[in-house]
Amino acid sequence: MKNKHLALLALGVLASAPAMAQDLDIKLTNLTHGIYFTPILSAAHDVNTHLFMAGSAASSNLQMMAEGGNISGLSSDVQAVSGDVVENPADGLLAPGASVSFNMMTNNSNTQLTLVTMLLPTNDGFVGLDSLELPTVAGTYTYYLNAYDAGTEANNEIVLDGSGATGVLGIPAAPGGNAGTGGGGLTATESNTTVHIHRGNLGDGDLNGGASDLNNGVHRWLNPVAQLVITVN
Amino acid sequence: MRTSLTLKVIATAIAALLLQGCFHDGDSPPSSGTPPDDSPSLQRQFQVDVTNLTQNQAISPVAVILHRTAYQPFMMGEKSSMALEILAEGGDNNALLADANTNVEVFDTASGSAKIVVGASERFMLAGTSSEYQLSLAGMLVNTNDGFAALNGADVDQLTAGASITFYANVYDAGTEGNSEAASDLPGQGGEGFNAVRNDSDFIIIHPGVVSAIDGLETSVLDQSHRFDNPAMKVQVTRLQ
Repeated sequence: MKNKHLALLALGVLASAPAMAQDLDIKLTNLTHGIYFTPILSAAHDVNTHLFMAGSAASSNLQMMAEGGNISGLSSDVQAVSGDVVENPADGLLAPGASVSFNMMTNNSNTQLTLVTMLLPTNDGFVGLDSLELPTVAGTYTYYLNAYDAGTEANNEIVLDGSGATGVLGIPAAPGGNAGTGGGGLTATESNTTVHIHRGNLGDGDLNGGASDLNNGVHRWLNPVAQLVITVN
Repeated sequence: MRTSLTLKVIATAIAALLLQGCFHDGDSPPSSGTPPDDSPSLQRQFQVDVTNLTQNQAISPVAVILHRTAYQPFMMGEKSSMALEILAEGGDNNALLADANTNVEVFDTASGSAKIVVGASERFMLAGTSSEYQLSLAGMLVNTNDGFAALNGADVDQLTAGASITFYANVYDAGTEGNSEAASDLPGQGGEGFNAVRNDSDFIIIHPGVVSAIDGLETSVLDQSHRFDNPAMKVQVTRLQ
């Protein structure tokens, strides 16, 4: 609730003063039990830009990030509209419980923050923050982020090398090493083909078969999946 | 909904009790231009109503702590204190409250009288004298290995007298005990509570949820009714004074 108060306060300040460059310290913490974050993209941009929107179909660049962890397309999208980006601040995977801190300088008109990173192992799950209006008053602000499903791939929960490529069904990797093999596949269809809240991994207790390659004691989560702390300097 | 008249009556009734002065003294030096921490104008009394929102998870007697921002019962991604582990694994809030009561950043604490069963609520009264107030609160979901519902430093110092704010508490995993869901490890099933051995990740995260036996966790004694989602607890805070 404090965040809400502060956001309203920030809105008031924005309405009465021109937007200006900002110096932000950002800390992202992985709150899941057994899910890794792939390279993170943090992007500041104008109010007209969205890398994704809940309830709308994913762009091909979002699909590339959500299915394979490749942020290059989304980063280009942001830079094409004069946005500011920080790419891969964790230098690879961010493990469960781990944090990464980084600085971000934003330009005048880039008043919004978007942050995305794929969840591994999932088919097309990602942590998402869609166009948060950045606070402008100096202080520390805490937000909690949910897991989204890009809606572009059926959640079959089968680990398959090379399936990070767009259009190849499967989970490209299970970094924690707790996944099984030989699963039959949970489903071949995706009912909601727009970006939506991820229903979570199901998994099973069978490392050598069953429906899913994922482990029901390791790879499940509940929202929120990440804590974002923004310090406005 | 309680009326403001009711609030005034309650406030008057408890004022005599709470103003007897069981608070800790503030030790921060007053900065120029702001009143010192013991100014009567900074005295506050809060009524805290805690409700269990789960389907079939009783919540162990909660620890309620009113404090400055410098106190934090836990940090995401960090190791649990021994006191929090004792609460998260066994539902025993004594160590966490004892730790809080020796912390100069803590004004007041309260303990639940018993576990809060599903759908039930319990009311607490806390008071302090300060220019900044946060509320923390924790109770174990007794049919988990080390899951606890908590508020971790919720800001309540913006409340005006008579006003209320509602927080919703998520469920955290202390990371100190593997989530076997086995009867022998669950206090809610008559199993073991606290055990100093740490056989899980050893950092605090959002709880991944209960899998249950019917959903394929072979060691689990739990059924579909023990599953939960966030939030698990409603916490309404009303400033009485």
